[in-house]
Amino acid sequence: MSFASHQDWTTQGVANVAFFVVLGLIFLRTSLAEKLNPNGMISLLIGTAILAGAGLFAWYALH
Amino acid sequence: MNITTSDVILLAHAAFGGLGTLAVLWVFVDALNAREQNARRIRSAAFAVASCIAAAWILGGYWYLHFYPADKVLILNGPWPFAHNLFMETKEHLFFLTLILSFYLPLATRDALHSNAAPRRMVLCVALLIALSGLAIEGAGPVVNHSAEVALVRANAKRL
Repeated sequence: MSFASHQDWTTQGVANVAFFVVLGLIFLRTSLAEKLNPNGMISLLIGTAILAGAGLFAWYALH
Repeated sequence: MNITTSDVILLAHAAFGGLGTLAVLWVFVDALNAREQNARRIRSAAFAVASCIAAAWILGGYWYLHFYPADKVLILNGPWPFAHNLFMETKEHLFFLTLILSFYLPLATRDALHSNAAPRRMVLCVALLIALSGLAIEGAGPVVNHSAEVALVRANAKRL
């Protein structure tokens, strides 16, 4: 991952933000967010955030 | 008094992280009582959250790349290697969740929160997730810092 900026942490950060911007533009252009169920979106957001946090902690606790 | 660049960057990183977490609580409380009168204040606070967390990201990233490697060696050879292997690793990866949610918060507050329940619920959930992950990340910092101190004390004790 370090090929783009010589540091993998920097590349990861820039890639994350770029991914967020690109996804945001796609959602904006396609009006996809307006078609989705808001409660479903909120549940998905909470679920993925908890899963990501707990998953990261468990991964590094076990490795 | 000898304050190094490393000290200033590290303390500024922690300060911006703390300020961002405080600002997100402000967004949460204002969004709970969303009215037409406080809509502008909610957007300003959300922008403050994004700015503070972005500053914490840039400062923390710079410090991590330029100053942390020496501390990392110390920690891994000290009595608390888990401070890096578990706390620092989780902190540095979990931070991206907080960062992306912080960038999303000003966008989510663009809706009329006082008259729409769904966007208000979204803002409340995003604010809560930022606050909880921000507190967890903020709490991991002192563990990493203390582990370096413990390693130094142990190394000095062996030398004496």
